[in-house]
Amino acid sequence: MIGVEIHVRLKSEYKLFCSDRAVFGGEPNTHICPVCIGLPGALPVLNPEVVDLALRTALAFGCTIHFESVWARKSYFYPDLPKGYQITQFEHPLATKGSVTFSGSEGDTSVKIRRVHIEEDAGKLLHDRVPRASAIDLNRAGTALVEIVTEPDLRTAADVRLFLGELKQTLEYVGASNCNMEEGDLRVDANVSVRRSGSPRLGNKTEIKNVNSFSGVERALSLEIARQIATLDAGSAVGQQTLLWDDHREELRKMRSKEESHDYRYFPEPDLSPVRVTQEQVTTVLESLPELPRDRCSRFKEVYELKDYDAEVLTQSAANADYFEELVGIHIDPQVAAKWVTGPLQALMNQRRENAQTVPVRPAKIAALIGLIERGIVSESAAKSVLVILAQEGGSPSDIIEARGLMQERDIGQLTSWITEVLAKHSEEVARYRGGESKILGYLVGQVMQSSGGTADPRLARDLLIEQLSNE
Amino acid sequence: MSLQDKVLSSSEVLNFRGSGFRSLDDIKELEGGREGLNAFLAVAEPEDLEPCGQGPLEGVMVALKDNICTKRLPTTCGSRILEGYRSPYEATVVQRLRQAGALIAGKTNLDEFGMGSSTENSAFGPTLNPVDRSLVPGGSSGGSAAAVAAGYVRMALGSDTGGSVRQPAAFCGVVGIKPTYGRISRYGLIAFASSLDQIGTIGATVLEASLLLEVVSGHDTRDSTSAEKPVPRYRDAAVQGIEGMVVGIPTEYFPEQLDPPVRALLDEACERLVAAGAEVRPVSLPHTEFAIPCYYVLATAEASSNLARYDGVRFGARLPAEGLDRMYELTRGNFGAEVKRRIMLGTYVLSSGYYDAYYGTAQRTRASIAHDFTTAFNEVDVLFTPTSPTPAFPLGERVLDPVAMYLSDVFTVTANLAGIPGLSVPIGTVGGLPLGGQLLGPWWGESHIIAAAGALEASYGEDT
Amino acid sequence: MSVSARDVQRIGELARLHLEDDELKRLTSDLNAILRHVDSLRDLGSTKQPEDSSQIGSKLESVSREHVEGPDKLREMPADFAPEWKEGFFIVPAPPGVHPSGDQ
Repeated sequence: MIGVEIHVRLKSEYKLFCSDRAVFGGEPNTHICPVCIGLPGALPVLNPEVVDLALRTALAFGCTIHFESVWARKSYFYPDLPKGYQITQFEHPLATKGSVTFSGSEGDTSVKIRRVHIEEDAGKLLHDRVPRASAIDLNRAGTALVEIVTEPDLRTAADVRLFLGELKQTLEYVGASNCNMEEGDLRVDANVSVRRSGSPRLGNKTEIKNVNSFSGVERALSLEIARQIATLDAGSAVGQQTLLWDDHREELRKMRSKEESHDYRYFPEPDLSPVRVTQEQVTTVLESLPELPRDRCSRFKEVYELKDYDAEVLTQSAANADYFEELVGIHIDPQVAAKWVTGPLQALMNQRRENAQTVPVRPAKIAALIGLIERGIVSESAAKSVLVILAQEGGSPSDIIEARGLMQERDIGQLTSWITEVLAKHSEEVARYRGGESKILGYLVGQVMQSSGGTADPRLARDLLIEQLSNE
Repeated sequence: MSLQDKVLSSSEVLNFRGSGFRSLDDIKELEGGREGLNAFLAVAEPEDLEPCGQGPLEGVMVALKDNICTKRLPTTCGSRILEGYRSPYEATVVQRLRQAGALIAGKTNLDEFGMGSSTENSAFGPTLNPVDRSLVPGGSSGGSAAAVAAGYVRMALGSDTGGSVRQPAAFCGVVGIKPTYGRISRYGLIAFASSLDQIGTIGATVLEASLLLEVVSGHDTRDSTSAEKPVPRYRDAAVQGIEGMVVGIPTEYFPEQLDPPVRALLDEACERLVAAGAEVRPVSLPHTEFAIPCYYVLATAEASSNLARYDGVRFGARLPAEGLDRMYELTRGNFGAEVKRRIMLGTYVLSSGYYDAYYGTAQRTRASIAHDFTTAFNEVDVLFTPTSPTPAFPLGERVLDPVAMYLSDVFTVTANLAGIPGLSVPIGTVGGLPLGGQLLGPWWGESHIIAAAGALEASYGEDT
Repeated sequence: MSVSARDVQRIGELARLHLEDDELKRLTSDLNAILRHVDSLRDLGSTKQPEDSSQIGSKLESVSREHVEGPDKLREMPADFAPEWKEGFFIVPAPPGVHPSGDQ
């Protein structure tokens, strides 16, 4: 039985309780103020944007929203925790009782969400900057996090990874977080215990902390489950403990008991009033939530008759799905649109490190390009070059095609002369073709395309090639 | 001297440009010599005095308790752990004072982090009571009260968590006001117990304490507990009179143990209120006996948390050590005995297994105490009580007996627990030592208690 | 309710306060004196009480901040008040059990 706790960095512009920008990276200790570094006399003031983002998160998971939730102080001493306590929510969280459905290893699986609450992040402690000492960067201190806790409904390590994928996707879809794993936007702790089948009693649970990737979570859990099973098989009991995952060595190590025994001494935060949310607010957020990934994927398969694979790839990110639907909206056939978005556009975005929102070539231009292909004005392969040029320079597809002479060549005379050239240069391949290796035709067509600078009509060229080859 | 005369002389002082009641040099000289009261921990240099805004306090010198953050002068909270600490930002109240034209004369002594009732818990020595130097000036705002009583300044800011403005005002024979919780911004007030702390004003007269209150009050976006309520002209309340006001006398605040001379002065004060046009009625506040234990559970719990940030990591004094925990312990070893005691108690009552029994119970008790006042204020406009059971006690008498020390707060902590405003005004002397009478009002009832205090002050003034 | 010296020791650890032996003794007796006094509160437990306003905050209006570019942004370098500062970082002794390899 596995339950997970996920800490998600919300993508609010400012920190949770002060007016510093919540920025990743940057020179250390340059986005700080008396409040977030806990100077004497400073006081927290709630940033309302965070509540909105947290509501989006909780409602995306179908949670019940509590109209009053209470801030609490969680006390412990650590150098990255400036006030000596973290402001979080304890007895009265923002939301409870939601659920997430995902495609698990055995089909559709549902996980119950126990609670969603808001809390502030600590700073960063670095141990490799100064010899025999630690360095503290408080830029991150005070940024807004949401903590999502599930019931122990997950059953396998693989399922946990799949669940986390669905969760991440949903968070991106509703705009709650950038979910940038390299920036540590998502941190996972897992609790796992095993039960001998037939036995009603659950073994003790182990907590695994410090995992920064989904695959790491899966590996750590697999290891720990195996260890627990082996322990029980050997007749011993599993001790309750906390383990830290070491990603480099791919192993779990026990946390020192002193690190473990915390008495957090929670009590209500006297410097802040409770978070008050109205039914109106909830309704507004609900209405503004986009279609969630799973629903969108199903709809794509149904309405656009897309293959499972295409639908899944297109709905990976809301931006891609939006781009695709915009294309379809300009009367492009869904199959064609899917091919273009998942193929040439994706390749372009990968190369330029952009996404479907930031890529400069907007759907209207691709629609125009597709139209030109369908009218035979340009070949598909030439069109791909046009796409790249559009991204680099802007302009219109037809202008680019004309300016660079990329119009599809259909003049039989011209094609024939290219073909003759190619056949002359590749006598070996010609011989192989005549010897029965019909597949080599593709290579020869490719050579003709090359000679033509991509402008030859490939179908026509192929027909002419076959004709010429059988003629001699 | 009639109140009218006092008003005139006050407004003379208020219009006094440049150096207030005493010059900075005078203060330094007096404090430095044998006559020194140790009221000031830091006195401003002439170059520290920033150019004034123009406002009701133009040119007036004001002293600040040393738990209020200022940028030029250090802010020590009377503690070794903040010795020499210069805050990179200043408190909202300091900004407001400067906008009103006031000049910050210096920072005054206090019980460390506001924890104490005698100013004997300062790491920098006790402050002496100007009326009798063998006695305490009260605490924790003893420095501010002494500075006003000695005539160094006519106005000072203090802070009041369980009586720390009212009780020293009473012991030194001056006026002290703790406003409604949320009246004055706490941004830049170094926190002791967040849900109980309020900055308070101390003045030579009711008018001055009220004017200072008016200047520093008001909503602050940087303090989520500050109220968005408009600020009335409190200075006018001082002279508005109390014809028809109903004054409640809570029986629980007049126990048998009160000394006869004290009781006599309290009775006389009641008579004077009646003579000024008020009606006096007995009331009951039944949960009063639980106020001290309730206060000490809640205040120490919050304090233990508020003082966790003093760890030597980012600011303040650090005692170097080999390991991190050792550094924490050595650095925090700089806290005085009273502070340590309260941190320990606060940590204990919040710790696992004890939270419900102590903190939970105390919260419920607090609600009951607040409810007592709400009920009483349905019948009366203000309440009149002694500020403290006795006048100032000798230095050294109670400092080693924490419970005895805590009990001297018995009449003042309830106002902090309920969040209501309270004011202490001189009502005569016992054996030559000033005694304070306390007026308590409902939430946002500052004007009423100021009016009642003004009437009393005028009445005593007519005698002279 | 009373505390033993061992309890007091444990609380001291929680609060990161190092206590010498004589301090420990004194604190134990002080705390017990205070706790005896505080125990009177528990008698109240059973009597009917109004709803716990867990924060005096039932009076507090919900304050939310319009974003304000705080005039108190730390424009001055923390180097001015930090006890130990190097290359832009606050410096402390390493916490126990830490491997000098990247951050936690």
